[in-house]
Amino acid sequence: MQDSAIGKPMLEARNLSVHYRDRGTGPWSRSRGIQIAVDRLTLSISSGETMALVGRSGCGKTSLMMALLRLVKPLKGEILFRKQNLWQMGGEGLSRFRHSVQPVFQNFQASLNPQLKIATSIADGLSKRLSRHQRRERIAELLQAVDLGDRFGELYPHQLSGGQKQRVNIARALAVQPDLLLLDEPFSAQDLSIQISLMRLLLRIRKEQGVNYLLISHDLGLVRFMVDQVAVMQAGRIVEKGVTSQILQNPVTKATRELVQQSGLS
Amino acid sequence: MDRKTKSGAVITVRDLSLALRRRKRLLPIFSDISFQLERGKVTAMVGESGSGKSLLCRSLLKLAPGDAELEGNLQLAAVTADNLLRLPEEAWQKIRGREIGMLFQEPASSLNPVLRCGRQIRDVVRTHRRLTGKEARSAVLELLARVGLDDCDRVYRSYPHELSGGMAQRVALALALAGEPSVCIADEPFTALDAVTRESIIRTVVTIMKEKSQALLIVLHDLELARNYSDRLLVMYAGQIMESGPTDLVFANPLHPYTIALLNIMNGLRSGILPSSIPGEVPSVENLPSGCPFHPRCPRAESICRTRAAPVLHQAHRTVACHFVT
Repeated sequence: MQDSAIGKPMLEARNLSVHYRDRGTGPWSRSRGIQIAVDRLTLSISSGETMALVGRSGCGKTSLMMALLRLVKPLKGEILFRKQNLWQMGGEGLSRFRHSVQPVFQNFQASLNPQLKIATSIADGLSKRLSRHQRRERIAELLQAVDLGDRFGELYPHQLSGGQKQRVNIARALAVQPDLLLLDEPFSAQDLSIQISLMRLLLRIRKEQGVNYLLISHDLGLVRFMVDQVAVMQAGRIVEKGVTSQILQNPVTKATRELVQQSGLS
Repeated sequence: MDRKTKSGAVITVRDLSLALRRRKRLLPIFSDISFQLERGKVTAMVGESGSGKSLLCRSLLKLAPGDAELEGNLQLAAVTADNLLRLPEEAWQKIRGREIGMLFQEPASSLNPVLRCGRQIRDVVRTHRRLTGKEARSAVLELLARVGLDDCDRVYRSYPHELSGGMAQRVALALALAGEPSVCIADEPFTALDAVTRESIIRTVVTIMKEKSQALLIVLHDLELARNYSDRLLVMYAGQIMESGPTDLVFANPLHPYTIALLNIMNGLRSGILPSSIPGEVPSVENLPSGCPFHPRCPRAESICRTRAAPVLHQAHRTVACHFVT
């Protein structure tokens, strides 16, 4: 599948397979086989491009994201970050990757340490070379970027609502000035109104700071406002990929048609 | 009493209020909630998280937290009691499951992880109906088929963890219907499922409820689902019913600014333009605003909204709580 070249490929998966060992039904039972989560998948995200990865639950979206983040080792295939193999990187290269590609997870509760103040959580990602004053300024700046006031820095996660916590997660991801955010269903646990305000926030961050994203979601109706490209995933594979408007108007595969229909767009 | 021939309200809720005790303070979760659930009708409850929907559902089963103060009046057509809330716990054990079925958000929390699914449903069937072991087994298999499961024999023998989320939620549904309740209360039963599965399960629930002319109260996040599958709508915000009425009427002509704001988002998404969100967030119970709780986010708010709670206006089959709707 050929990408429309908006920029140079930034993150690529080539012939990627992710398998999990099926442990059977209990801790004592022997391994019964292998579950294929991602199946010989090829995908490329270019710099300057935003993409949505959509599909039903269990199609392997999260496994793909974990592999792209180098958090799960793929069984086969390779992941390239700026043309370099992610699993052959070490030291500085890997550190550059970790700065460049930042995740935001679906479970916003588990993403924040309940014992740390919001400011401390955000400061974790900041350069150690900053002075105390610079650090404080940068935290205020990041909180402002996600529409939270200064006072939120002094609060603990349990004092925040779900939407506010997800904003903090986005601010923390932005702390290292990444080029790409990998967002795994960042809105799905939120109310519609909060979802819309988070979507507007991401669009604004893209416009103002040039931070692009790969958005994983099961809701095509929502993500269509956010991305240039849509890739539809089914049973571990990309079954359809293209420009958002085209996918919505002329879905070719059954999986895509179903998603379009479910989103009330047909 | 023959439950099948009676028509009208199955459950009547009047002035129901719940407050939680926190550090010697009483925090109101919801107050003066009144509505009825009717036989064969689906009532959808919508509203943002933190509005008190889940605790309201639990309160209808008298399952509110132990330190909570629950007041008001609850009546069930099938039970002769002036106020169910005054009944002792033993009486409630016969009501839950038999008269009022329940379906929660997480199927995992309704199912026992160490018992096979069939056994769990069979236990409920045998508690509420006088059946032999064999009869109970076939009743369970019939239930499993009715909730849309294919390989019923295998599901009967499976443990909950061996099922997918959608299948587990269908089993939880079978469990909720096993006692043939006259009312079923479902608290966001579909949030953990993807859109395709969600639609197919809600269709199953509604069909079964209508067939058996049972009443259903369902909490939904998705207004589109509420529009397609419910007969009545309750719009809740910060522990109050802002608006209620027949679903088609509310969708055609929403009266409360909160309902209007929710519908604007839904309609915006359908028309392909990213709508604006409702400014601000749902207030926490510790910091409830004075007057109408929606006033800090309301585009129509004036000084009266800040100082006085809005009166509830009753119009043919509809209620609305706003100073500016007369």
